[in-house]
Amino acid sequence: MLKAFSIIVAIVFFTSCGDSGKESNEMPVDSIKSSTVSDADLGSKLYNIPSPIETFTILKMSGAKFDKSLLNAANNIGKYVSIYSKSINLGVYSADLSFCLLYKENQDVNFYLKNVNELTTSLGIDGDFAQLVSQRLKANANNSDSILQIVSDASVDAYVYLKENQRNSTSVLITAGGWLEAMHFIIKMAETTQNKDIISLVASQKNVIKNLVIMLSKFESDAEIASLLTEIKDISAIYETLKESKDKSAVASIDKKIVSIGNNKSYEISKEELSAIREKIELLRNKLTI
Amino acid sequence: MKFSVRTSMFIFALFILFFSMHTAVFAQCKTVIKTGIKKLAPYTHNGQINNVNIKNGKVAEIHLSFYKGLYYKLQISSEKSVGKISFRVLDENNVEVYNSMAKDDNAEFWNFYSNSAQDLIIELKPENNTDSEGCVAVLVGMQIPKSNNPIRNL
Repeated sequence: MLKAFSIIVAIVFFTSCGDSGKESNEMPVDSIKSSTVSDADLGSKLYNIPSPIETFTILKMSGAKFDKSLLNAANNIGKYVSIYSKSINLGVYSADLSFCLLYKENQDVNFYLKNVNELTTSLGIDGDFAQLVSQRLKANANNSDSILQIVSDASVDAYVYLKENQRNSTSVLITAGGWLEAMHFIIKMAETTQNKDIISLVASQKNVIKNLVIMLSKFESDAEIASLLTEIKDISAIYETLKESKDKSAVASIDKKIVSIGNNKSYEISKEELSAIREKIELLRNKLTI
Repeated sequence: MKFSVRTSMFIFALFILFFSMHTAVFAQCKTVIKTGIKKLAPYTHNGQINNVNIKNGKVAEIHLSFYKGLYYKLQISSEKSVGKISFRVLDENNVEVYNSMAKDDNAEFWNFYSNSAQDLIIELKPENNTDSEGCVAVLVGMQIPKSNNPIRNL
């Protein structure tokens, strides 16, 4: 299982790029801007959220099974025309790819890898990125370690490419798309299974969504991002009502050499709150993916 | 406004120099990130890439969310030009939970177990307050508990 994690996490960079909010305007896809503002100049505060693979790791630990019906249909890709839509859905498909890889659903892996490559190319993220990855993956199809190395290297290259070209808003949209898809998975499974660990995972997004709001707020001068932010804030408002509680099943690290951090807190979420969040997540996901 | 051929060439040369330097900065950062990811082993990279450009000895903050129930490793990786980086980890109440300078071990990484879903702030500071500038990355590794019942009730 750990090998599968390794492969996925590299790919999922798309859905978890830190944002320092130092960009004011999105650049055209194929333009190159030759100036930059250093993070230090703006106080150097960077925010990030857990990647879908991190979320799915917890999901799988809780005993959740693979559910193909939760994936965004691979053939929806033709519907994504604008840079905004492509960026969001690159995040969505990257999360789907992570989920398929984690559960070793190889046939679906191929569909989603193809879509991730197509959107990456279409967004102009380093012209050779997708082709290069594709060629090298074919050559090393049976070697998990090589695949990990290839995808990991390519992921960092693509991330740095976006940053180099001051396309941080693209990064943030990809991150938001990945979070939305991961939320769609965990909240559906939480309601279906009533598994306490999965419900707790949904509740713990209270911390995550705060950071996502900050990340998106940096780009709210963009009308599309402002609109997305409004909807994310609506979801965040429900999270604000969740109460903190001391976790009765509090645990500590069994490894004495490793310090245990946190105050064993958790959040209480009612069925009504879960349902309200699910409705908003589904509305937003349908709007952005279908 | 007209420029002489010589002036135009000078401007063009400046542009090329600036663009080359800019590209070199990001190339350096790419190496810093990749080096950090390799150092996460045996932990698995969680997919996040967090990097900042540190300059003039100023402190940088990285705000990250962590889940309950995973072991984590924070790995600091930086360009040589920025010198040694010290780091502190603060919890949600701004209480220091780790300081790389505290035990004088100059650590570049820190492992911990997260017993709650929580936000942590990683504060990065060059040990020498010089006018140096460079890329610093914080990479996060994760590890699932090894056995089915790896944790004990408090």
